[in-house]
Amino acid sequence: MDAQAQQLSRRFSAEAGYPRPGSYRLLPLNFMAAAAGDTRRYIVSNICGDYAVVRRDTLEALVSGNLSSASPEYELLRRKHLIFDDATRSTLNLVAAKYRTRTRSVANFTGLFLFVVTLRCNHVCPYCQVSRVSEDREAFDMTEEMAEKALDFTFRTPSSGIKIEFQGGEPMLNFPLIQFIVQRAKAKNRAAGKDLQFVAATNLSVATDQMLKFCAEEEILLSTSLDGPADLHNANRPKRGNNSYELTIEGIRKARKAIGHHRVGALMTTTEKSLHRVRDIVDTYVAHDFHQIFLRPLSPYGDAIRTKAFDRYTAERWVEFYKEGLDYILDRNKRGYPMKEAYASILLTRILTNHGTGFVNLQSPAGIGIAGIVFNYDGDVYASDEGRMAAERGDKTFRLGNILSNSYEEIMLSDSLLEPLAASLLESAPMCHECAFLPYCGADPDYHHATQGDFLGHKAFSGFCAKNMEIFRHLIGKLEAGGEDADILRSWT
Amino acid sequence: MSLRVQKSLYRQSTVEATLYRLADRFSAQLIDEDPVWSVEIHPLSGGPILEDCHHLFRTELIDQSLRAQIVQSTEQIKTLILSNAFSGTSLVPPDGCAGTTA
Ligand code: SF4
Repeated sequence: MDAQAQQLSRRFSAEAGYPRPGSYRLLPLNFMAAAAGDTRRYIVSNICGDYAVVRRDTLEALVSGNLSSASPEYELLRRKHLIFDDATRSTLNLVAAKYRTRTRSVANFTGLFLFVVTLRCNHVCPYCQVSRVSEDREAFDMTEEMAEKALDFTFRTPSSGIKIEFQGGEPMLNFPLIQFIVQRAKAKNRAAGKDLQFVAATNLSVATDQMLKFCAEEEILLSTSLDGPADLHNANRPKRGNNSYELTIEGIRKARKAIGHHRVGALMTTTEKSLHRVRDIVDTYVAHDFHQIFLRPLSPYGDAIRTKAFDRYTAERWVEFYKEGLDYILDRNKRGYPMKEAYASILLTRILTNHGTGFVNLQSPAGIGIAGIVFNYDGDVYASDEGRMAAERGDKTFRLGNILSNSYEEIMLSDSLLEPLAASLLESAPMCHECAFLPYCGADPDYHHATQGDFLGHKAFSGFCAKNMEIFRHLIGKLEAGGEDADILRSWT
Repeated sequence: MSLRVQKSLYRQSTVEATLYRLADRFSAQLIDEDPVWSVEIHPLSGGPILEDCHHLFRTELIDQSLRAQIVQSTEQIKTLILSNAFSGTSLVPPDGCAGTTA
């Protein structure tokens, strides 16, 4: 062989390696039944989340290389980047570029920093995910020294955006520290030039006019808890005087007036008592002019475990609740009231677009530590809010160090962070690596640690998997069915 | 009664992936009885009856076999796409001739 031929033979594979003219090749793809137990229709997706729904016979023909290029499914699968042929070889570059975009959030690194400014709270919610203590326990407040160190840590992030979230307990009970952190962060940001945002998760019951004025001036968003109508909210959030709902509604009214209507958000938690009340819950949000609701299940952390609140309903029951709620929200939209369901909006953004959502629990590698991190009231640093909740119950698995005694490097490179990250990667996990929903799903090592004592978890037994898989199917089913529901869902991305 | 799976048709990893995915429905024991895999299925209390377990197993086994075929035929392309995704090198020369992709 002459030199030129030798050089060419190094650059090209053997002829047999190339597709025959007119034939196609598969791109890396996964499939899953479109409905649990249904063997007629399958969702097929590629590594960057493009998907198609096909019949079983199409799937089999596709995999065995027998799909006719004249069939209508051929064009669909080609357009969705599930196969390529001689005419569409540039698909490979496109898929690579999309994959790069989807995974960009990993390189962006930590963007969410939770400051637990106090563990004190004026409520005694039975499912509270952190052990709370009475209002007069100064020992449960973060100090300025800790906050200053935590801010030094925060500004080490390579992320161009920083969101500082004040958590508790009830964070407004340590408002002077919130003021301190906001002022110091803004001062630091004059040099750093990051996109800096603040949000406080508060029950609003202790927010004074003075506090709200500060929030307005410093552009601090407020997120509160609203579990539904008065009887449900008060039953979920017991307080002396049994008036949590009234205080929350009054707080929302005052806060909106002070900082702007759309700067006040609300979150709900689904307890056993909520399961038959999803329409009432949605109606309460509508009545108070919220255009977004987040139908959230209880998480298996903190006092939700101690009080057994977490075990009182199954994943299947929650999914039923969720589907009923989603249908009702779609119905309210059709009747002229624009409203989003936040979890569907996050999942649809992952299903239909290439943008990251920043939602810590739906990322692989997991979002713990590298998407969000927690500075607890005592200076301890946790990989996630769930991790610090578990610690209040004595499980310090996700404790990464202490802000007063450990460096940024010691914390971010600690085994407590690297081990769960490595162990929970979906791309190499049994079941997940072959799941059509992998591009939209996430590793949730804290959930699986709490429920199965293992960072990865056996997904056949995982409530996290059962809930997400069913919602992915449900949303894709609605998108495929088309019509007004699909149009509304598409508008949520 | 145990199910018998031809070793010439299904790899051990395919049978194991099938059992793993169905672990919440039944427990099972896999025994090598060359030239077949013998799969002894034990329904879990409150789960599907034995006949349904067998049906679930057979359906899932075929799916797992399809998945194994996909992995085999796309492994190289996956590596290429991932290396391109993180290196930014083009997989297809600008003239569109895709000689280096196979
Ligand atoms: S957790 Fe479940 S739904 Fe998510 S990727 Fe894994 S198997 Fe699929």
